[in-house]
Amino acid sequence: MTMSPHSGGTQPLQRIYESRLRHVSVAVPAFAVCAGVLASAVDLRFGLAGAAFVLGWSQLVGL
Amino acid sequence: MAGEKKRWFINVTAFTFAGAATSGLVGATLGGLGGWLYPKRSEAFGMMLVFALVLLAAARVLGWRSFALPRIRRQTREVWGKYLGSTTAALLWGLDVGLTFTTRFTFAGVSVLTALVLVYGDPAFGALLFMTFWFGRALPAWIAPLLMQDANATPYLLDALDRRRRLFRQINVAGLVWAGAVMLASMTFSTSMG
Repeated sequence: MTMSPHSGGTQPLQRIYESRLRHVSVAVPAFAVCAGVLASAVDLRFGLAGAAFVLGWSQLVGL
Repeated sequence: MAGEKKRWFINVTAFTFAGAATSGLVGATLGGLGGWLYPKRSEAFGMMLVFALVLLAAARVLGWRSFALPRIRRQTREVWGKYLGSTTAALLWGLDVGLTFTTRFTFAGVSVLTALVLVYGDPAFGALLFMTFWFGRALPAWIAPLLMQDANATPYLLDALDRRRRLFRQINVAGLVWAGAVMLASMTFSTSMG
């Protein structure tokens, strides 16, 4: 049975969103760091672009 | 429903491309300015200054040091969404937020990017750095539908986001550490090569 975010009141709903958010917010920078490491092999400046992406992503909380 | 999805796609695309254009422009301008103001021969000294700024920014984000950032306490105009069409508003929001310095930013990381671009003094690299910063900033608009079942869930997601502030602070520090590590590697290579 799949759990719908809209079933079971506010508390489970918030927990589901927090869990999803936690996973995505860590997965995205992890992927960016991996891509940045690979890109650094071509040119170290591309590695800085990976860092810039992570810095931009972390601004999400200020939207 | 298909019409709604299409409109969402057009709006998010307009937002992303408009922001990429202004961010790229800001980065290229800063790069050009750096190249004009800052002599290339002192790049190593400049990199050391930026590295010190990385440490300072990380200390601020972690709450170890407190100092005011030179920033405007302005947010983009929500009212555009009311009076203009949704696509025009998305385009204007993208143009505005993409300008980076015309709206408030949460963490100190952007000051490190600015310093980096000024020291490198290369407009193309400046544009690349600010555009990738923007793509990281705009990505949540693309993945929000994956996190929520419908738009009614937005307050719950924003609430969850607010409670996860500490995590985003840590991610910002991770970005700064990553930038610092790349700069150290760059300085080491340039010293051993030259």
